[in-house]
Parts: sequence; structure tokens; C-alpha cells
Amino acid sequence: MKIAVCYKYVPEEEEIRVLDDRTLDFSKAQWKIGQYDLNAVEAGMQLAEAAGGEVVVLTAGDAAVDNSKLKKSILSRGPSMMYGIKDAGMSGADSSATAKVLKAGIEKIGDIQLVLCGEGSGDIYAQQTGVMLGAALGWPCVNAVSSLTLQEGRLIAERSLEHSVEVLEVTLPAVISVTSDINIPRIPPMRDILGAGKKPSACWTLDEAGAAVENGTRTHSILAPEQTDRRRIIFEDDGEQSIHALCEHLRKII
Amino acid sequence: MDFKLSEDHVLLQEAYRDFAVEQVKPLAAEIDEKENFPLENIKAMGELGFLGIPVPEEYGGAGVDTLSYVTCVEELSKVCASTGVIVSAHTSLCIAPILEHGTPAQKQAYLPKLATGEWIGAFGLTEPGAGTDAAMQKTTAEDKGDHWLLNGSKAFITNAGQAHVYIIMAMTDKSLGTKGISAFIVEDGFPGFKVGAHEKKMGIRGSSTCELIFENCVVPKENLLGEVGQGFKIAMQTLDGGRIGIAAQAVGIAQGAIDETIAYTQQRVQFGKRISQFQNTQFQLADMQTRVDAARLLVYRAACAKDAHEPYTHLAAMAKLAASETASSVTRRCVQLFGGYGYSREYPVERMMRDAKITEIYEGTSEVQRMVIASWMAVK
Amino acid sequence: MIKLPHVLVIAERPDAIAELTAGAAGLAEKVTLVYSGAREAAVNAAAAYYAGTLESHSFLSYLPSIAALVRELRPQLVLTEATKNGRAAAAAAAAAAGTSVQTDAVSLSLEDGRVSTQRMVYGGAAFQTQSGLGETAVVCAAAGLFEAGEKQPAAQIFELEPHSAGVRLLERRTKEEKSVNLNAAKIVIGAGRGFGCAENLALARELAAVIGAEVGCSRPVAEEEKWMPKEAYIGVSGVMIKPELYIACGISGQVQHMTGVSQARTIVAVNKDSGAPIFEKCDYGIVGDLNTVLKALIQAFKK
Repeated sequence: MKIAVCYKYVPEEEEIRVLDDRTLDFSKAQWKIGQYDLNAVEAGMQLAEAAGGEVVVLTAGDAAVDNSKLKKSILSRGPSMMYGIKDAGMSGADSSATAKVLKAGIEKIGDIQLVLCGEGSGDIYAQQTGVMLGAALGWPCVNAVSSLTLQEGRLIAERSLEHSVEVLEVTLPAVISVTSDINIPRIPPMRDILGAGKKPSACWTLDEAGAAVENGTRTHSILAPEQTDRRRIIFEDDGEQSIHALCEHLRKII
Repeated sequence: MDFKLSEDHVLLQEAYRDFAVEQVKPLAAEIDEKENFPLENIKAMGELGFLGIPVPEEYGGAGVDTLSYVTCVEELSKVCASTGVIVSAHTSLCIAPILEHGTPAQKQAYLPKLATGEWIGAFGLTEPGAGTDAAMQKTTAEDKGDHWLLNGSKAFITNAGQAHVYIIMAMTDKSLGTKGISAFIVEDGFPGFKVGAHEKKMGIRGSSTCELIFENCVVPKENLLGEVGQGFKIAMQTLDGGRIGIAAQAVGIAQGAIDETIAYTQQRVQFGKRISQFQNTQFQLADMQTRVDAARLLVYRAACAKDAHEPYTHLAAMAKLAASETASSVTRRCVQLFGGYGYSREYPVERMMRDAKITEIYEGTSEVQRMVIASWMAVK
Repeated sequence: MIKLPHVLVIAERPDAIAELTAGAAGLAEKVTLVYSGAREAAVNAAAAYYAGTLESHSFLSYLPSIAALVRELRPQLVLTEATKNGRAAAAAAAAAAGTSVQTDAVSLSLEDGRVSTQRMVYGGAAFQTQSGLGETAVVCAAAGLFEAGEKQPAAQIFELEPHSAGVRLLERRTKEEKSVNLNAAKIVIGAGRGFGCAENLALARELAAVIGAEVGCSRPVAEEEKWMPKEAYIGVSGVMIKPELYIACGISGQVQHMTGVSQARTIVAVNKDSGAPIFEKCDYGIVGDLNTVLKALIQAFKK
């Protein structure tokens, strides 16, 4: 079975700074692979290791698509080849646009029976790209999958909902979004890190992939929340008077 | 001159860091408190390749340079100095001399198991009466024709009791002084080999430190490492490399303490301000980070010189001297910035302060490093 | 405000059906509902499409019918719950309408017929304001976006047909662990390490029962101490809450926790350490013993 895992690279959260005008400054933030996408790569590897098969990875984005370090980083986790679709317009692409571009990538790679995605991207976390990719491909798609196995050639997925778990048999080809607790992504062994640079990769333009970036939404702003000024009325002890006074304040709310 | 790590070095460093943060850090306080040797993490590190960093691929290792090795020891030591020294002693003091001086048969017999962590390695030079003055070896090795017979004892041996392979220095000819010392590969289980009392330590309490006892210990002929009489030279060369590892451990301890202190001072409020807002805090942290960066560059320089097969004895000594004294000073100041909580075991900086001290002592005290450096400077 | 002609609501929990249809009624002339669960849960809709009780099918099997409905009805807005099924339905609706989904909307407004929403991004570091570009907007509403009003039974109920959609339900297991509904709670009590041990959390639960609150916790309580389930942890990588009142007990006030509660109307802190950073970020604070303070509060509000 040939499995494609889609991933997104995102800015390191801790390195994003909030400027005085509440906009975000990404200039010091390094790119990393979205943390939830690592669960999808791990799920793909475990499936391929258990049932045989090959795992390739696919990303779409702007300049960093063919960043050599990111490429090695994703390939060190086991996949045999990395595919990228690179276009400046991808930086602000929404989930619908991203899904259509990824669809073109999946079709161009060819022969894919299973697509795995993380539950959401590490930055925007809309949790939509996987399910929209399924819709775009016209394949069965299942989100919230917390366990994935191949049993006698049948793909069995456990779908973890708010109040119940569905055990589903999924017809291939299919698109599956996995939850972050489906596995603990491996720390790549040193030999896999050192071998990652020797693995093949391909980077396509939108034209080469036969895709276009078509957003269904427009982002007006991304701003840090305004800091609420808190009253900071502090009672310095837990004596009766203090507690009584606190209760008086609380009664106005409760 | 390029002060940047290569892409592969950075990727490997990220893996060391991920492992340290995810699997080593959560256990650090407990293994210190209970003096537990972290066997499970050792096994996991073996699988990842951390225990065979310089071992060539043909012997099952990662085949990576000293520079990457020091980033590994640093990342581990940032969160747990005990784990850092276990890896350092195993790699620098056991694997390295076998790599450097071992016969093809010895390499084949020991390196694959050491590289995967199936076996842990250790090194025995220090004796109750021969520490800094290592030439005063009392342990003897007698040529019995078809085997060697070892008698004596070793003290303060890191990884003792947990290790399967020990590089042991013993006197083969007392009349020759240091030139009468030879090196042997001793396996746990050789007849007459015993692990003695467990040392109760101030710091690095998760690492195992014991004495070793040899009572008519039978060592096969083929387990002589190098030539007869080369033991002291092998030991000194091994310690040169070991010092780079300990220097990296010291840099890690210091950086770990700074990282904890930044996080703490940014959230702790006194006199209506975060502690990090006080200029005293900022200046102290700036000073400390500058010293740690300086020490780290010395460590990297020594590692690069070793990798380039250039003389590095004095560079390793400088790196260890600077890094260990930095670690002691930085951790002490970090405890001070934490105030009362710094002295409490609730926070890790008190452990880091206890752990830091040993880096000024083992694998050559700071005084020994000064002797080495002065001798290289030809100051007589 | 000029209302939209038509909103399609897709929901499964009875509470969510009531809230989303009430919200939709405020936005649109006509509300159509797609729902599952109890048949009689259909309220405030001119027409309701029933996906059954989901005993023998996954909700995913109804997605083709939902997509067909969107293409047929061409609503100006599709409004879904922020549940796993809601997200899958939103994607199917958006694909059918040729648009994208505005997920986890914590606020929604209409300007010149355009639906605009706000949501948290970058782990709560920022809010994204976005709007739909096409004829139909699809919004996945965060819990608590709308309030339920009066409930009128739906005028008409139609059956929705399941299709295979490539998935076959083999088994449905009820989850043992009660998921914590912190998002929608008006009052939340946050438990921190200051409680000392899991048993002491009983006090927080008792106070919660008295004042009608849900109990959440800080990250260390869930992930390191494991006194509470992971679902209960409030903070950047956990649940982001927006209650009227947040009472932080034994919580020091680390940045990543505080980001998760920054949208609370009022924050109260109880901590024995006067230097705890939480006292910088609260409306009311009391320096004191958790036991003493919580017991006194329980007594006071029992009356």
C-alpha cells in the first residue's frame, strides 16, 4: 500500500512576538513541522511497518517548501520520499485552497491508496484540511481517528467523538485525519537523520502540479487580543473579614 | 571561521534535545533523589544511537564526529547531569580507547554491543591513593603466560556496577614508573573481579560510582589494550577526549540553570514587579549567558581540533577549566536569583548546583587543567 | 441589520440544536436544521432533516445527503457545532458550496450580508478575523457563541438518507470518561498544584456544585500529577475558556495557563503565595490557605 502523509510547516510558537500594534512578528520564528502532522507521519509509518507498504510525504507552501533542513527533518521520521508544491500564494491559503492544491499533488504522485493528515495545523488549527481534501478527491474521509489498523486488507479506524467511539471499516482509497493521541511520534534515530539527506524529493510549481490557489475566505486581520486591565483587588490574608469581603464581590457575579 | 553548526549537526542536536526534554527531564529529580540509575533511558538512547556516536557504522555506531557528541552531552546535561556523565564516561572513556587502540578483534568484540547500549562502558584509573597523581598506581597485572592476573582496587569509578566493560590501568612493571603501566579490557564476570562499595555523592546521584576490586582477577591475554607499557599514554589520551565530554556536561548544566532561572524570574513577582524586570537580574543573566557562550565556544573548538586530528590536549584542558568553573559559578548565582525556592528541592537549580561541582574535580581537577595549560605555554 | 434569507444549521446535541437555531433565527429569515439524536429535539426551524439516532450508522454516512442539501437549498450560511461530526459536516458543506470553513468562531457578525467571524490562532496568541467570499459562508461555531431561547418544535421533519460514503459502522462504544464541558461553562474553577494531592480536589468540586461551576485545571495537574483528565486542562495547548467568572485555586499563573483564561470576564485568585504571578492578572485575589478559603466560600454560598 502506498500512503501519502500531508504536512504543513509552521512558525515556532515560542518565537512569535507580539508588537505594540498587536500584530505578530514572525521574523525571528523558525519553521518547524506542525506537531500534529508528526502524529500522522508516525501513524503512516506504523501502518506501513505492520502491513507493508511505502510512506511518502506531501506539503504545499511558499518559500520553505524545499528548505533542506525541514526536508531532512520530515524524511528522518521514516518516509521514503518528499513531495512539495511551492507557490508564494500558499502563505495565506485557507483550508479549501490548500485541500485543492494537495489534491493535485496526490493525483500527480499517483497510486496513493491512503492519505493521512494531522488533526489540524500547528498554527491555525482549523481542523479542516483533511476533511476538505477527502471531499475534493471524492474519497471517503474520516476525522478524529485515534486508532488505525489493517485487518485482512480492511482498514479499521476508531473515530473518537465527544461521547462515543465509532469503530469504522473504511473503503480505500480514503483520507484519514488522526488525533494527537493516536501515538507518540518517534524521535528519529541518528542513522535515520543522517540518511535523510540521501532520500529523494520533488518540488513542483502550481503549474506543474496542475493546481491553483483559490481561497473561500478572506483574512482581514490577525491580532493579539487586547490586554484586559484587571482590577487587582488583593486581600492579603484569609481571615474572616477578607473572606467576607471577597464573597461580597463574588455575589455580584454569581 | 564559521561559528555555525552544520545542518546535520542541528538536526541531531534537535533529536538529542527532544529526547532530553521528553524522556530525561521528567525523571531527573527522581533519579537524583533516589540515586536510581536510569536504565530505561539508557536502553532508549542505545536504540537512538546516542551511545555509539563516534563508533563507525561498520561496528553499528552512528559514525559521527566529536562536535555532535558534545552537543549530545550538553543537551542531556541541561536537564540531567547524571545522564550526561553516564554517556560521557561510556563514550569518551571506554569506547574511545577501544576505537583508538583496540585490535580489529577487540573492536569487533566490544564496539557493536557498546554502540547499541547493550553493554555499558567504564574506565578505571583512579585508586584510593592515586587520584591526581595517577602515576602512583598500585593495581598490578602479572603475566601468567596464557593470561594476566590483576590485583588491587580502583576508586570513584563512574558507571561501575552497571557497566559490562571496563578499561583498567594496572602496573605491569613497577620499575619503569609510568612506562610500566598497561591497559586492559576487563569484563564484568571475569573471575576475581568485584564491584565494591557504592559511593554516596553530593551530586550526579543518578549515576553509579563504585570502587572496583581485583583479587587474582583472570584477564585473557587478548584483552591487553595497546602494547605492554602504553597504559599511561592511553589513559592520558583518553582523558584528553574525556575532558571535552565533561566540559560539554558543564556547559549543559550551566545552560540548564540559566534556562530555568529565566523562566522563573519572568513569572515570579516581588515588590510589584517580575524579578526579571530588575536590572540586577538582567545584568546577572547577561553575564552568565556570556560566560556560558564563551565556554561553549572553547568546547566546540576543542572538539573540532580533535576531529581534525590536531593537537588538542591544551584546548580540552582550557575548555574543561572554563566550562566547569562557569558551571559552578552560574548555578550558584541561579540559586541566589531563585531565593528561598532555589534552595528547595521543588525546583531543579539546587540539584544543578550540586551537580556542577564535580565537573571541577573529575577527569582532572581544575588544578590539573592549569598544569596542562601552563605546560603547553612552556611556562616553567 | 439586514437579515440573511436562509441559514442551514447542522447540530447533534439537543443543547447545541437549541443554541444554534436560536442564533440562526437572529441572523436569518428562514432556518433549516439537520440533526441527529432524539427525533423531538428539532426546534426553531421551518424544516428539519433528521439523520436518526446514529445507532447503526456513523454521522459520516449522512455527509453526501448534507452536501446535496446544501447544493439544493443554497443557504447564505451553514452553521455547525464545533464537534468532530460538526467539523466533518462543515467540510462537506463547504466543499459543496465551493468555499472554506470559518472554524471555532468565538464571535460572528454580519456586514453587508457578509458573514465575518473571529477565532483564536497560534495557540491563543492572536485572533484571526475572517469572512466568507462566496455565496455561502460556512461557520463552525465555538461552544457558547449563541444562547438558546424559546424552543418551538420544528414545523416539518424530513428523513435524511444515509449513504455508504465509504464507511461502515462496525461498533459504537460509549466513552467512559465524562468529557468536561469547560467551553460553555459560565463559571469555571481552575485547580492547580497548590491542592497538594488528588483527594483535596474534592473541595473544588464541592464549591463547583454549590455555585454551578465546572472544574478545570492547570497543565501540571493533568499531565504531570494526573489528578484530572487531559480534557480538563486549561491553557494554550489545552482548552481556551471564556467564562463570566474564573476562580483560580492554587494556580501560580504561568503565561500559558493565563492565555487560556484571558477572555474570562472576571478572574479570582486564591493562592498561599503572595508572590504568585496570578495576583498580577486577577480582579480579586486572596492570599491564604486553599482549605480555609474554599471551605468558607462553600459555607457562604450554601446559604
